[in-house]
Order: sequence, then structure tokens, then C-alpha cells
Amino acid sequence: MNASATGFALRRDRLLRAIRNPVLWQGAAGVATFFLVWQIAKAIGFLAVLPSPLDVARGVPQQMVQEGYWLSWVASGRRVFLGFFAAAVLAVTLGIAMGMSRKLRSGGFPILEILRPIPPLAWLPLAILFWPSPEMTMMFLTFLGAFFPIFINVLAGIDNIDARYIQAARSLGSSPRTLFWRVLVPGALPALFTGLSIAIGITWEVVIAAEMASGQHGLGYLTWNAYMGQSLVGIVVGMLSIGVAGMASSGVMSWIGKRAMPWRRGH
Amino acid sequence: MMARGRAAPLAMVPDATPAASEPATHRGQSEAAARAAYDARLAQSPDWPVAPGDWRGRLMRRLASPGPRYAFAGFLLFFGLWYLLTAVVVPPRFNFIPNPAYLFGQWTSKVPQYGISLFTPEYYEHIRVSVIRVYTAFVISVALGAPLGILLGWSRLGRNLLFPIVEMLRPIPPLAWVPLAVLSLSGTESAVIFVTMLASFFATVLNTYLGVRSIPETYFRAAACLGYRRLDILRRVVIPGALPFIFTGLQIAMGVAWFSLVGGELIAGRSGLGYLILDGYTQLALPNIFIGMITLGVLGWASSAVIRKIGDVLMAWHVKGRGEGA
Repeated sequence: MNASATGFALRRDRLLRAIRNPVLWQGAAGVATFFLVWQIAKAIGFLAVLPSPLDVARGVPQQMVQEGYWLSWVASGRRVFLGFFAAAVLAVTLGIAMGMSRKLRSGGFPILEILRPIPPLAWLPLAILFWPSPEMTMMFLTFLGAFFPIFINVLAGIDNIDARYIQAARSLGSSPRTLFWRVLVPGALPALFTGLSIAIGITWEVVIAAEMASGQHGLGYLTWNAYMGQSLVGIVVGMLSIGVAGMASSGVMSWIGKRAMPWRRGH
Repeated sequence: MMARGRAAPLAMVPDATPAASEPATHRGQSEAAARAAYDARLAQSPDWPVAPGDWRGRLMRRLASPGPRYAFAGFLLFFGLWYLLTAVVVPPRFNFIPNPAYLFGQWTSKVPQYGISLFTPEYYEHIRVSVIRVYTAFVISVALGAPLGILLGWSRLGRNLLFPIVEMLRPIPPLAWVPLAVLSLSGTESAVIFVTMLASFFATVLNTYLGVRSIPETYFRAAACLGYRRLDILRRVVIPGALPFIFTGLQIAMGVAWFSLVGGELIAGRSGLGYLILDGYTQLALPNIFIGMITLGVLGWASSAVIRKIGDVLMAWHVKGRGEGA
């Protein structure tokens, strides 16, 4: 009972300290000023087309209960994650293969370097023509958007492993398998997670644009639909939802990264 | 790159050993001749540096190394497979894709079937429009983003007040702004430029901020001890210290600018390379789609290369070896 009492006191202290922290207050003041300026600008008559923050706040619950709102989350999320996983699997495999074999790398890397600068969205028309269903089109685009950042980072991760680690492992008599699991994988993991978190951001951007250009369902389509219906509150709610979805995905990614690399927790 | 640099001394050893044993076999030769023979032998080694101006020697060296041969085989395989799938045995969904030979013919034809080739003014008009958009957006985003990043990194109050706002707006992808931009800005031109600007703006802000934060606290203390004024600190400590990160940011910014430009032009454009691709889709002019894609790739790559070059010149002191972003 005593222990729980001190635990409670500890938690209360931490909470109090967090509340007294000036960083929190100044941050809140900054965000509040942002909304206040927006609201005042709207009231004076600037930003004629933009809805005021209060309108948006009133509109959020209204939009949320609308039919199809949560389905759009599911539709966009499915496209993002299926494309992302396919890209991750292929990019990691290719990245490791090209990181370990010089022949494969000299043969394959130049072609990928030529394809890489083409923006993923430039593939959209071709993908629409090629893939039989819009769903596959969008997954192909998210795949493309995610593939290159993951691939490049895995390759850079393997390149940047200190050669002395590999030499040390070899001279201690480790088998290729041990070398792979004990040196290459942990060494390349931080770069892999950098790549994954860049990639998840790009997939959300790609999926939004693809849905706006050719979609049915999805958060991008929701926003586009609101635009077509001249519902400005709908547009802003759509944008906010996309922002939240992207942020949540990045959060999940960095959480997994922390779990996978316990030795980097201090960083 | 680093691995190869470390491996170089090891690779030279087998080349050097036979040459070193040579004087023993030709005892009659003078020492100078032996040394010349040894140098000649060493110069044959793939790790021997080529004289900076010797372009021909450098080219021969590159062609002789196994890398280009594998690269050539890779390209041959890629284009061979493409040709095979679009001209020889055509699987069901490949029938509309032009084969590489036809594509190249159209691209370099004086009278292209669909009106776009290296010899038509329309092609250059689309390129001009897109390039102007990207660079306008890029300049605006750097002009606004770098000072904001420095403010966020340097001033604690500025960071506490403004950083949450930046972090609140940053996760919204630029292309989600398209409807709002089209409605609230007059004309599609400014809407497309705004959308193109957004992503590169945040990339610049964030990297500049990280750059300023990466400067060791001791530098600021040293500057304060030496009696620097704020302006001097900005010029002598903050900007040079943050420059490597700023240039990483600019490269990312350029990449995302091209990325968002295509999105903006696809959704809201009336001209430009993104529009060329979309138009190629609606008119079913497949070669134009490919020409647009390839041109975008080349322009995007060239823009990043220019920035990297400028960065190398400006930061001669900085050791290279940074990973790449988006």
C-alpha cells in the first residue's frame, strides 16, 4: 500500500512537472495563436473561401457520422499497407542481394537508378491502362512510391557497415549465416527503418493523389468529393483525416523500429 | 563507396608482389630500370589513380573494369525483355505498350504520330512550363523555409512557439491541399506552384532546423567568449554549421518538388509534363506518356545533380558520406 502511495506521488509529481513545463505552454500558445489569427482573418473578411476553425470543429462530428467516412479510412489504409508491404519485401530482398553481390549490383543498380527519378505519380496513366482494376493500379503506385526509398536505404545501410565488423566476424570463424544474422542485419536495421519511415510518408501522398485522380472510396476521394460538392468543411476535414492517418502510420513505424532495435533506445 | 575505399590497399597487394620480386630475376638490370618496371606494373593495377585531365585513360579504365560490363548486360536484359514482351510474344495486357525501338523512333522523329518529339516546339513548351513551376516553387520554399528553420533551431522561444504549428501542418500531404489551393488561389498556375512548394518547404524547414541543432553547444560558447555579435554568430557559426544538413534538405526538397508537381499537374494542370502524361492517357497517345515520364526522370535527376554539385563546391571542407533521403 505504501509502495502504491509513493507510486501515486511519483506520478502526480511527474504530471505536475509536465503541466508546469514552459515548453508545453508556449507550444499551446503558439497553436492557439495560429487558430486565433485564422479565426480573426476569417471574421475580418480575408480568406473568403476558407472555413473558420469553429466551422471546422463543428463539422468534424458531422462528417464522421457520415456514411462511408470510416470506410474511406479502411480503403486508403488497405491500399497504403498492401503496397507498402509488397515494396518492403521486394526492396529488402533486392537491397540485401545487391549489397552482398557485386555482380548483381553492377548489373541491376544502373537500371533502378534510371527508373528511380521518375515520380511515382507519373506512372499513374500507364498503371491505369495496364492493371485490370483501379484497386491494383493504386497498390502498384503505393508500391512504386515505397520501393525506392526502402531499397536505397537498405543498400546504404549495408554499405555503411564497418568493414572491420565483417572482418572480425570472419576471423572469429562465423559461418555466412551467422555473419548475415549477427552483423549485416543489425548493422543495416537503422537505415532500413529510416527508409521505411520515409516510404510510409510517400505512400500516403501517392495514395491521396491517385484517389483524387482516379479513385473510388478512400480519404483522397473523400476530399475530392467534398471539393466537387463545394463543401469546404468537408475538404478541411478530409485533409485533417489524411494528416492524422499519415501521422499514425509514422508513429507505428517508429514504435516498431524502437522494438526491433532495443540497443538504440538511448538515441 | 566506403567499403571500396577500404578494400583498395588489400587489392593492390597481389599486383605488387610479383613486381617486387622482379629485380631478383634480372640481376643485371640497374636499379632504376627495375624501379621503372615496377612502376609500370603498378600503373596497370586498377587501383592506380589516373591523371585528372586524362579523360581517355579514365574512360578506358572504366570500360575495362567488370562493373560496366555487368551494367551493359543489365540494360541489354531490361530492354531485350521489354522488346520481347511488346513486339515478339505479346501477353494479354502488354499489347498497348509501345516497344522501345518504336518509342525511340517517335521521340527522335521529325513528324511524330502524336505531335510530341525532340523536334516539336510543343515538347519544349511543356518542359519550359514545368521547369519554371518547379524552380519558382523551389526558390520560394527555400527563401521562406531556411530562415524559419534557422529561427526554430536557434531561438528556444521561437522553437517552443512555432514548432508545434509546423508539426501540426507537416503530416498533411501536399496533394491533399490541391482542392483548397484551387479554390482559394486565383488561377491554376498559382495553385500548382503552391502545391509544389509545400513539400519542399517542409523538407527545407526540417533539415535546416536539424542542421542548426546539430551544431555543438561549445561553438556557441566559444563565439560568445570571443565577443561575437548575434549577426556574426549567424554568419560564422549557424549558417556554416547547418550547411551540410541544409543541402541534404535542398536535395530532398527538389525531389519532392518534382513529385508534387506531377501530382498537381495531373489533378489541376492545363500544361506541363504531368499534363502531357495525362493528355497522352486521355488521347491514348502512348508514346507521349513514355516521353513525358522519361523527360521528368531526366529533369528531376539533373536538378538534384546540380544541387549536389553546388553543395560540394560550397562545402569543400565537409566529408561526404551521408545517406540519401526521399
